This record gives sequence, C-alpha cells and structure tokens, in this order.
Amino acid sequence: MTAATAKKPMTKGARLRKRRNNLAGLAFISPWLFGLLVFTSIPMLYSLYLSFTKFDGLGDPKWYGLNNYINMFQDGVFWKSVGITFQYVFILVPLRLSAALGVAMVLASNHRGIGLYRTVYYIPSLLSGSVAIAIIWSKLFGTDGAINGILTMMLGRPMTYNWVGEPATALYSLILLGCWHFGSSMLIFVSGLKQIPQSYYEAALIDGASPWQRFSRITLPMLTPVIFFNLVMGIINAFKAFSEALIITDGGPMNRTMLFALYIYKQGFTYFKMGYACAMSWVLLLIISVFSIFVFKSSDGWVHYEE
Amino acid sequence: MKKLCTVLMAVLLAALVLTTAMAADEPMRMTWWGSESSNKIYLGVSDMFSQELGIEVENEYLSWDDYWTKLNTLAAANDLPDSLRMDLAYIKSYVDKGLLMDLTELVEKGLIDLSDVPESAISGGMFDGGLYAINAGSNSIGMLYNVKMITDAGMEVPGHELTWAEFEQFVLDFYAKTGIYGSDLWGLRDYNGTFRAYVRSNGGQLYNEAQDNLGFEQQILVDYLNSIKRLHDAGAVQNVSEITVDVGRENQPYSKGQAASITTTTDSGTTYYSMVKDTFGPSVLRIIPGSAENKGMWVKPSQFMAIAKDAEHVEEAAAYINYWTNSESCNEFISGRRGVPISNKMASFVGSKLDEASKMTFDYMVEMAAYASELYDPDPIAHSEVDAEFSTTFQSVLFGEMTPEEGAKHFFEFAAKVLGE
Repeated sequence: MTAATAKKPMTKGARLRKRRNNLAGLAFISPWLFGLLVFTSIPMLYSLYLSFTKFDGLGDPKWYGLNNYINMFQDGVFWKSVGITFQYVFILVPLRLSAALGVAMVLASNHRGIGLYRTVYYIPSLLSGSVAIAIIWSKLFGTDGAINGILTMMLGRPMTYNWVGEPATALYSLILLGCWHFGSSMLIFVSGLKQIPQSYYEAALIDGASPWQRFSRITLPMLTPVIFFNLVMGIINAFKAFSEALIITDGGPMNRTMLFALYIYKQGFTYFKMGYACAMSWVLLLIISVFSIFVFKSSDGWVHYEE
Repeated sequence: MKKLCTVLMAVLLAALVLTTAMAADEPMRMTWWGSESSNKIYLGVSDMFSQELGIEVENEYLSWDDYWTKLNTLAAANDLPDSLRMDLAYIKSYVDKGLLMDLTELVEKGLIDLSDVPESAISGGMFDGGLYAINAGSNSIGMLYNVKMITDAGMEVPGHELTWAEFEQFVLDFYAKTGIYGSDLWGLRDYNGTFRAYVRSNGGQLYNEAQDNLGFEQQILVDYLNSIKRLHDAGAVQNVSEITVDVGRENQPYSKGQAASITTTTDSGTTYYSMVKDTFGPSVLRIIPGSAENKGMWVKPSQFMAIAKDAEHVEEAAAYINYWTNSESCNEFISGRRGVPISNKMASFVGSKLDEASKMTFDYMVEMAAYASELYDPDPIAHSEVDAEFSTTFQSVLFGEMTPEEGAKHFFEFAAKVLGE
C-alpha cells in the first residue's frame, strides 16, 4: 500500500533531466516574467501608493490618506461616468457577441474561398484601436457624413443630424463602432463551431429537428465554453474602452461619452490629479474584478464542458 | 544548456550594443506645441538652423494638451529636451521646480545676443531675479471679421468700439439679411479667450487674487449665456451639437465661408485669413466686442523659449534662441507669423516684407494696445478642469437642459469646489 503510493526514488539522470527541463521552461518564460515584474507589478504597486497621495505628476507626492477615494463620492462627473460606462458595457457586449456569433455561423461552413471572407471580416478588429478608424467614424456620423447622405437619399429630405455631437446618440455611435470590432470573438467562435462533432447534427436531422432546435439544443450548449471566454474578455475590454471616446468625442457632448478610462486619463493628464486618477484606476480594477467573479461563479450554471 | 547560455548572452550583448549606439552622438532635442500651420514654421526654422549652423536637431511636436502631458512626464523622468517652449500658464511652476536654466550667464557670454532687444520685451521671462525664458513674440486675441461677406450684405464692418449688445445685434442682422451665420460658436464658446475678455471688460478677472475661487460676479456669466442663447436660438450661429466634437480649424464655419466672424488668437488669425482669403475674401481683426471702455484686452507673451536645467546641448540650445532672435534669414522666413520680433532691428527688417495676413496681425497688435490693460496672473492649476466644466455648462444651456441662471449657479459651485481644494 505505502510502497505503491510512495514516489519512486529518481535516478540521478532523471533528476538532472527534470531540472534541465524546468530551467528551459523558466528561460522560455523569463522575458514574460521579467516584464510582469518590472513593467506591470512595480507600476501597479506604485499606483496603489499614489492613490493615497496628492500628486500633480511633477512635484513630490504628498500623503493624502483616503481623501481621493472619499472625493469620488462627491464628484458628479465620476458618477456620470460610472453610469455611462455600465450603459456602454451592457449594451455593447451582448450586441458584439451576437454579431460575432452570427457572422461566425456563416463563416464556419466549408465553401470555397471562405478563408478570404474570414480574413476580411477580421480586418476591422486589426484596425480597431486605430486613430484612423476613429476619425473615419466621426466623419461618417458627422453632420455632412455618409450616414446622413444615405438617409437623405432614402428619406428624400435633407438630414443634418449630428450623430456624434447630439447627447442623445453620441454614446450609441461609439457602441456601434465597438460592435464593428467583432473580429477576434468571431474567430474564436468559428474555431468553437468547428469543434462540434458533425454527427450530432446528423443525428438531430434524422430525428427531424428544425434549424432552430439544432441551434438551441446543439450549437449553443456546445459553444458555452467559448461564449464564456468571449463574454469575460468582452466585459473586461469594454470596461477599459478609451481611445474611441478620446478621439471621436473627447468625452463630450456634456460628458455623455465620458467613459471611465477616459475620465481617469483626463484627471491624471489634463487636470494633473495623478493621485485621484490612480485611485480611480483601482476602483475600475475592483469593478472589473467583481463582474469577472460574477461571470465565473455563474458559469457553473450555464457552461457545459464535454467530459 | 550551453546553447541556451550562448543564446542568452548573445541577446544581452545585442541589447547592450543597441542602447549604447542610441546613446552616443545624440542630436540636440527640441520640442514645442503647435497646430499644423505653426508646426510648418517651427520645422522650417529647425531645418534652416541646422543647415546654417551645422547643428543636428531632433524635433518633437505635439498638440497643446499632449504637449504638457508629455513634458510633465519627461520632467518627472528628468529627461527634458534641451530646448523647449513654455507658456505663461506653466512657466512659473517649471521655474519653481528648478527645471529651467537661468539664461543670464548665456546672455553675458554673448551666446544669446539681446543688444537690440528693449528691456520691456525681456522682463516677461524674469522670475525671482533670474532670466528663465526669452519671449520671442507676443500675441492677443480678437474678433476676426470677413470683410467681403459683410460689405456684400450691405453692412459695415464693425470697429473696435463696438459694444457687446451691438455685436449681438450685428450677428442677428447679418443672419437675417444673408441666412449665413453672423458668428462662429467655436469662438464664442472659448472660456480662455472670448469669455475672459468679456469678464475683464465687465470689471472682473477669471480668478480672484488668491486663486481659490472665481474672480467675477455670477450675473456676468448669466448675461453672457443669455446673449449666446439668444443668438443660438435665433439660428444666427451654428447649432450647439456642431461644437461638441472637435472638427479641426479647417472645418469650422468661418473657414468655409459659412460665418461672418470668429474669435481667435492673433497667431491663428493669420491661419484663418489665409484659409478664407482666396475664396471668400480678406478678413480683419478687431478687439473683442465690449472691451473698449474698460480696456478688457491684454498682450500675452506667447513664445517663451527656454532651456532645460540639465540640458546636454546648452550652447546649441542658446544658439537656437539667438538664431530666432537675431537672424535675418530666420525672421524673413517666419515673417511675423509668430508675433512681432522682439529685436528692434528685426522688427523693422521684417515689417517691410510682410504678407497680407501677417500685416493684418501686425497692424492689429499696434491698434489693440490702446485697449489693453495689465496681463492677468498665470492661471491656477485647476484652470483646465474649470475650463472643461465651462464647456459642459455652455453646451447644457444651449441644449436647453439648464437655464442660463441654473448653468451659472452650477458652474460657480463647481469652480468654488475645484479651486478651493
């Protein structure tokens, strides 16, 4: 009994081989480890310290206790930005996932030249964060933009609605831009769809299942691990959204697109309240963690792993 | 294992070689903020400077906001460029933090020749007895009017003595006659320029002396917002939704001949002038309406050239300031587009060679001096946050979400809180 569970003493050669393997492994991840330690954890800890200070980015940080955190509660723009960010995340993430899944279903088939289409649909994601796209977007949705041009043709009367400039629609223009970047989730969906054994569908067809039944009873449950992954990544990325809002609207009109990350940037780099910005970053980390944990906890109930 | 070691060594070595190669023989670093048109001028001067004097220059330029972000970061990292541009709003804190070099010695050594520069033009860069920057040009703001559009409408181009009420009437009348905007909201929404002049003309300053609160009556803001709202609701300026998102100067109504006037700094005034001249005719600068009686205008040093305390290329950076101040070829190239040269010799040299746009600003700077009073104190650090809230309030009022009274009350509460911190 004990002899069976006890570890077999390693020969000298085996031990050496093992150590060498470990060393090689460590060597391979050493650039990443180095990066994590130096470029991520040190700045993170420093920002935690700064969040308890008053710091204008130039002079020396002065100890400020919990005041930065307390000030948040009295900051009207802060609360506005929290509300707007939630709105952004909760509308964008389901929309983007549906778009990604929809396109993935079409592109998962094996037609000729499908690789080309997959590439084409992925291109927007490659360009996603780029300044050029943001500028194109503001032109498309501006007063003289293409959207108004098309609407004018369709409606037969001149449209001069400024989609990114009006408080009612500004955030939705940004959400639409976010949706358009469905490429990376789409690719993951495509590979997920290809993992589903064809035999399930064949069996369902023989039993006379309708397309909707096949989708809801086979495709969706089989995809849940992939959906789960995309959901978590989507939520985290949406909370961090920044460049679109900075370039297209700069938080305007009247802070209606003041996403959380943009407000952090403004506090830190435009208003020179680096301590306050650091405190806000930690609050953002907290919010993202809470949502991620929530999704992870709930996943037991809806994510099916094939055993 | 051995192989791995060799690879690691090689990588390390390569990294070492790369960094040393980059460190050796660095050119002089120069930085500024600017719009597209002013960047062209700076780049041109850099090129001429490095060609004529054989000094290699590395240029770095950014927009106003990004510039200060970057410069503060570099200052914190103790890595400021050799030669840099300062603004009145920040120079005091840079001097206080010991980031700038006292230029006195360089002047005494003759590296920067100020013999043709009057004392009054130098004193702007003096702080606590040291000379920390040379101001190579001054600017102001004004209301730019499109002469041809206004005369075509059968109206008279307003003069310097126009009151604000008369200006409001002018905008309404022009719109009624032509259907073209009488003024450009991009100018009227400007807290820093237009509204500052409005406040000063009504006997206040943006900030009080202690800089812990605003320095004017709430009613002044109520009146201003009411006036703009009347123009906006009459359609005599563009809809507020057009100014919530930055469109670039070339897309503003004034630049496209869709508005008869706009407030602008004199530097940008020449840019506007050149943009509209060929298609829509010449422009002319006047003081901000209503500023005549109380002398609400000001002249502001706009071209502070400084050298970093720890600069590696001190002599080169000094030569650059000297080049800008005293070189004929440099000043001929700039031809007043960055303000009147401070050297008397250069001013009269350039004065004879001006193009139309620069001549307009040259003449304006002379005329407006009669309506200018003492320059305001450098703005407090919370200025940019107060400025941002001003835009929000301004837009909320025009969108009809707040009345002018509510807007003013909200803005005053916000400013008191932020400035008092």
